[in-house]
Amino acid sequence: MTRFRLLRPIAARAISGVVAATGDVSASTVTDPPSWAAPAVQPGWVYQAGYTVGAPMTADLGAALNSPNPSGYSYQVLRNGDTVVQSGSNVSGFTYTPVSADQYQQLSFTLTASNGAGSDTTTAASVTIN
Amino acid sequence: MKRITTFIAGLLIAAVSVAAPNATFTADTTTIIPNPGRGFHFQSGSLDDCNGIDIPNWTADAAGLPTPISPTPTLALLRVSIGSSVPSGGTLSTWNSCFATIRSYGVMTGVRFESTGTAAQMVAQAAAIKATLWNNRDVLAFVQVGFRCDYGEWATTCADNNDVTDKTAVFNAVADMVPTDVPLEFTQVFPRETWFSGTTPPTKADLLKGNLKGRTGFHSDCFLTGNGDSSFYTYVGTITGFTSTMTAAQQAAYVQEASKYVMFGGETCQDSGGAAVEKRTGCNTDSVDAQGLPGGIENEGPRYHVSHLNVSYAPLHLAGWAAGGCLDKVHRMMGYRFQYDDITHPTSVSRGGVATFDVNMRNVGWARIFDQRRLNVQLVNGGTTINCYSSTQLRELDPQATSSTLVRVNCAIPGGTATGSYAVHLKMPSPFSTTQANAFTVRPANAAAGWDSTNARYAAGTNLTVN
Repeated sequence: MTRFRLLRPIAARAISGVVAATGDVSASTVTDPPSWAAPAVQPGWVYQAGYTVGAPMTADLGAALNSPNPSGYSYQVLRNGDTVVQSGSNVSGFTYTPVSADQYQQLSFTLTASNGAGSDTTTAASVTIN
Repeated sequence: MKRITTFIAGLLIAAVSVAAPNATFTADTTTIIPNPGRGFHFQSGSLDDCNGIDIPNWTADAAGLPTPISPTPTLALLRVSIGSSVPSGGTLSTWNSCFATIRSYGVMTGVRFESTGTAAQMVAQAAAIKATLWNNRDVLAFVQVGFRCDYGEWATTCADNNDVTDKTAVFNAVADMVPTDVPLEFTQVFPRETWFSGTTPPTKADLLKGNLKGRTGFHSDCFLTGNGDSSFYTYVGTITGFTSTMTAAQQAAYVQEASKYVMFGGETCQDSGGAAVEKRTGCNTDSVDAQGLPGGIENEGPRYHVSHLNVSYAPLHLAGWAAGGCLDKVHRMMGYRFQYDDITHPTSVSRGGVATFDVNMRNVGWARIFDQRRLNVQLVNGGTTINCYSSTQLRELDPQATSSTLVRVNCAIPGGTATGSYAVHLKMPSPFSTTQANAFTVRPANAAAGWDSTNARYAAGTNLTVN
């Protein structure tokens, strides 16, 4: 019974969290929600030589800490920070194709990473649509 | 039980093991780097009189100041008087040519338009100017809101266009005129309560989303002068129709927080008003600022995240900084200052594969960078160069950093790439194809030995083998 209690929480999740210097697993690592705090890699629009109306833009989801569910992301694409132009949930990636109303505006996105322990949201830097 | 936990821990260690960096880099804490869009600015000439900007003589001009400045700054602020009429096509063409001249010299500029029109005329003028600014945003470091009153400085004594409706109309027209990726600077704090719905400063999310609150910074016209910086900070009450609920100290605290995310620039001031406008001209031994915090440029420069200041005004301040031994520090630390800390990457990759480059870096300057620049990894083998870019933008890195930020570049190696050993270089180029000249590339504050001035890139000293 003791073995079951110890093993189940660890084995049930993919873990990429912190390991103590002694090699002992910290119990908190398997229950921590995802985090966009440093040293996470922040999400952003994949580089393109230019961002233009009609040309699809691809989101790079970055690398959150604490084992987010690979298909557990939700997002909102924002025009100038306040108009939601596309959204989705339970995705592992997404693209957005700017429309004429986006021309000369800023497109950013918010991204929420989730796992069984919780979620965390961050903002990806905007790009200018030409 | 112990065997099981040890086994699991071993798996975890394998999963999370972090490779040692392929290279670590030495910071350069002394060199003044005249990087694009930061530091001291020259304030002379106009878009109407491009020769008057005097760019070819900037080195001599800087050396000839009462307090000589070296190395030569690479930033201008142009004041453009536009009267009350909509600029003609010929005028816009002249301005466009002037921007081309500025670009050809490898420098950047801020712009402030000064109008004598009514509010409605200013709105029309801004609409007419918009396309010219968009076409030249690659060399625009910032735009000061301008337009209204003497010098476009929105002084409260301005007689016309002085109610909330008119002021708001002009502000919105200018905000629409300025390219959405170019910072705005505004001379007053109190109208923000009305325009941005309260006293909460802009956040990093506002900056990254690109909303108006996250684009609108500060143009302090009397920085380091008096406890209110000569009316930059005001008082609780109704000011030209705007409701102001913040004291000068509260406004200064607002600016301290806001300027982490929006641009702060301007000039110091030589006000002759006596003790009431005491000038804090020293490095760090002056009286307190509007918040009651220690004054002087070494304190207030980083506190208010200063990006740029007028190189020739006010002379008292520059002389004070030289006498106090901090002039070079001011020259060096205004704006952004990036340094690479280390790089980790695989030593080999197959053609058609992806190599991940993890670069730890930081911005130790007083302020953030504000353009949409990214980190560029260049893989070089003879005449072949593979370019890859981070999805992270460098403006995401907070200023005055005391620790690294991880910037990742996932580099897809084309299937047809020649096999062999590729030298790894790091570069911070302009985000615009029209300003790829070396002068528009950011040089890092790292040991000079790694700097390749011919190609404006930093040699990591590592290699990637493509199989």
